Amino acid sequence: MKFAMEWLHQLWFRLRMLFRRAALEREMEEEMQAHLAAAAAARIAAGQTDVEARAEAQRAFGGVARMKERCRDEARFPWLEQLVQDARYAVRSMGARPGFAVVVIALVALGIGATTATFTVADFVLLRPLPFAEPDRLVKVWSTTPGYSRMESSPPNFRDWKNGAHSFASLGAYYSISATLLHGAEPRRIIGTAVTGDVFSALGVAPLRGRAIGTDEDRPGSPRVIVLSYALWQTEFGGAAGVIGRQVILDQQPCLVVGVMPPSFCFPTSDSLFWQATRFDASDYSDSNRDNNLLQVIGRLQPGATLAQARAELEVLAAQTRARFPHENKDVGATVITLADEISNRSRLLLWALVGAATCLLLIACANLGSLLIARALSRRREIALRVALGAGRGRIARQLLTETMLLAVGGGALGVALAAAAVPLLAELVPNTLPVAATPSMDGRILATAIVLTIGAGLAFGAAPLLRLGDLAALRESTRVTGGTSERLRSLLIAGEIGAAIVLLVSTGLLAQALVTVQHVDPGFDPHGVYTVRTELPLPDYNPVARRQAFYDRVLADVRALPQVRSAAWISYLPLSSFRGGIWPVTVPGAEVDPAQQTGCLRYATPGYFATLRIPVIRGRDIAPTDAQNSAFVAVVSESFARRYWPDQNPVGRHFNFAFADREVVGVVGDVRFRGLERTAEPQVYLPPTQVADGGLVFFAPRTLAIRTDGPPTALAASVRAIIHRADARLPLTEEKPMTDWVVQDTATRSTQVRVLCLFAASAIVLAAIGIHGLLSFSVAQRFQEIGIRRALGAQAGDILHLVLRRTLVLTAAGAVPGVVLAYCASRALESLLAGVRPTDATAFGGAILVCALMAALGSLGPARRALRVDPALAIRTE
Amino acid sequence: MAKIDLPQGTLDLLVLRVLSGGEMHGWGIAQKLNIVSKDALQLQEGTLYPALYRMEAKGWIAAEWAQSDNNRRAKYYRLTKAGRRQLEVEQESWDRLATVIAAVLLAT
Repeated sequence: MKFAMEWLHQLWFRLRMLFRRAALEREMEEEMQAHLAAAAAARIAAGQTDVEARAEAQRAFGGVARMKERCRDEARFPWLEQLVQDARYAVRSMGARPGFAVVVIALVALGIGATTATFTVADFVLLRPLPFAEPDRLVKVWSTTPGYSRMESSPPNFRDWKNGAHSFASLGAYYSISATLLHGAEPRRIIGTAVTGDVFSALGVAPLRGRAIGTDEDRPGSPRVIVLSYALWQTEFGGAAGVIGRQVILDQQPCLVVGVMPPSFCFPTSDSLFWQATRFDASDYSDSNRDNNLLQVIGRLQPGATLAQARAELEVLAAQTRARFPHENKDVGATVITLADEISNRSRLLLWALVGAATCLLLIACANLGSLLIARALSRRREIALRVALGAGRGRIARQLLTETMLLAVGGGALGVALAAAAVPLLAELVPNTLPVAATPSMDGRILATAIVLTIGAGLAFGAAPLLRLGDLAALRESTRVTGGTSERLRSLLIAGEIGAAIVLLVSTGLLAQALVTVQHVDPGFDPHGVYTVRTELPLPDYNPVARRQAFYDRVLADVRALPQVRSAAWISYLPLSSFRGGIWPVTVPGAEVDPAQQTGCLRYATPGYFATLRIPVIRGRDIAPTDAQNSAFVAVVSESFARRYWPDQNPVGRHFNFAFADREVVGVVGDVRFRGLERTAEPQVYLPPTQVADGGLVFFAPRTLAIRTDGPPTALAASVRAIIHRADARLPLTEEKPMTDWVVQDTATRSTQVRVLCLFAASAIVLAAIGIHGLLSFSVAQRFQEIGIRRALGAQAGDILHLVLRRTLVLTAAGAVPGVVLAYCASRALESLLAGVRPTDATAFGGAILVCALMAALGSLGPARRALRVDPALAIRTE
Repeated sequence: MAKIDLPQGTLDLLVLRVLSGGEMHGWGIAQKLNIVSKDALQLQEGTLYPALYRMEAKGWIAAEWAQSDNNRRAKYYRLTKAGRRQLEVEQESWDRLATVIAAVLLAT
């Protein structure tokens, strides 16, 4: 109590003094001079002479300046003032050696920037809870077949399972839709999601405005409503508050806007711009729809229910539907996984690999920093010893040195965080597009806090380095030549560590770069060069009749083929490697001995000329022809793997199979196409003439993508193609207007982003390690200046001196490289699933890494070696 | 006779004791200490001032500028209530210390 009172009083006193500094100085001066005058006067009165009296009064008093300083300490905030003073001193001493400050700040910025940026992305994708209420209770229910572990479910199956399951508080289904929005002047094609009534209640996210889609709004008769995403609300409606209750035209149907979701709400992915109710009717739920697997199912676990319980329950339910519909639901099971587990192991590994690489870089930067600061501390030992000898307190010096490194660390840390903030949007490709999160990662407070802790840690750790043997007075007696046995060993260890980490980074980068090249060189089965693509929508019900569609196709194709430089053009359901890669349908082949689970084919409708346009080779038989009409025999062109699966070693042309509700005769065999991805094997493919389907049947697969092969640059066609399509039907919205090569590049975008980042890291690591070696050797050559001089004088040849210097390099490199190679091997084993067939022990990657490291070591020792060779013996011996 | 070094922390006690007799300026305190101790203390007079500032900050003494006897301006220090209490506390602890040390010295 008493203590607290005194402390408060002291604080008040000091605060008061802060505002009357000048007065304080004046008063101290007046008071002490009065004291001295009075003391002198007393001595004069006692009989001393004037001069003697003054001198003696002064001696009895002590140093006026020192007393004033001690008084000031009582009346001020000494630590605060010292901090400011230290900072000023630090800035001055940095100004004297700007190179040092720049290097240190750059090193810290590089390390912190790299780790912050990569960790932001990893945290965003892997660690941060999904933006839903209690996200760990959210699960997805998938159908399974022996071929697929995650397959969509059919409406009747979903309804049966939903009615039978007790583990879920709510269970909803959804599928992706797109619609033409007529609101402004231009029709706009937007992607959205059709949801059953339980999806929003399962997600548990409150709308920003209005309401979400209600539980019983998914019935066929209920009024049409739409919920907008924040993005759509902003772009199409200008964020107008009055949007709720407004009517919009969606696919020619009036539709009431009832709600807007918050900006953080992305479901099922950030692509979805609006939500509508499913409005399934009795026919959708009918048993004939048992194998129409189009729904994804999301649920919230009942309080107390576990994932294992839900899974067991679904397995039982799936067994029941299987028993009731042995044909449609053959081998169909069901499983439950948490929403967070939706992200693939590959994406996970890819991100962790980057975080690991960034950590390597941070360690290398820190090792360099440590080595640099040790060298600087050694070179400042004399300065520090001198200051200690002149009476500076050791604590004060320590504090001042720490202030200096802290200042550098904070500067570097701030720069690093700024760099990371700028770099993160460039890493957006690393966010898997299957996650219900925003497309671009954002930094949050936790990441910033980590960066700050790292920065302060670096500052403290390296601030402590110069304190080694602080104020050792022996330093004063030493010559300008400084020696530092322990610190030099420590530096060597740091540099060896750097080389090891650089090897790990180089090997991993080399392997992943090779994997990227391997994937990029995978033959997709078609030639994407010189092909322009555009997708349109064919509004229903207008385009339900096959003849209406065919008239449209013919008109557009005739005009497009008339364009200069166009070689061929065709319409297709979905292009390979484009946004939709599904469409796996069951196949029945009379008498075929094939595992039933493998009796599937990928369905596409294509107009004649499609294979020529994409340069997919026709191996046997013929292309789809204009003569394949509604009333002629139903035909199909199949891919090589399809033919091989059902009719091995036989001519497939002329054979029959049942597919997409009809018997089809094979008229041609074409090459396989990797439509699911460059790293996926080709699924057997079936191409059908778009005329041979019932009116309004399978409209999801009705060709809507136009592919054009041209001799000119593909994008040069954009304007004329747009005009041609709009001449045929002015209402049609156009999307995906791009060259075919874009789709192929997009397929490896995640990989190439990762490899680009890794290359950047590896290059930085090499440069840093070279600088580290250069620094260490320069220092040691400077230190052994005399020794080298004496050796030269005694007749050592240039070769001997070189040997002296380079032996160090060799030992350091070897000491770092050996553990580096071992660690690199462990890392490449862990990365194996990302390597696309490149062996984790790939000799090129390992050999290349070692070679690059050796080269970098040689480069780093070039300067010091030259300096050692130029030592003038006479000069070296005279200097002391 | 050699002069005695003041043990750590005892300067505060002496200054408080001197000021308990009434307000006084810095030079006055120094003079008084020298007279009372018969010049036996090894005291740098200047060190009084940091002590005075410290005690003022803690609120044990208060300072005021006033005219001195010979008509010059001087800074006068006086004991506050808190200072009087502090004097008692320090006096008591000093007495106990002295008693204990005397007892030990006598006993052995």
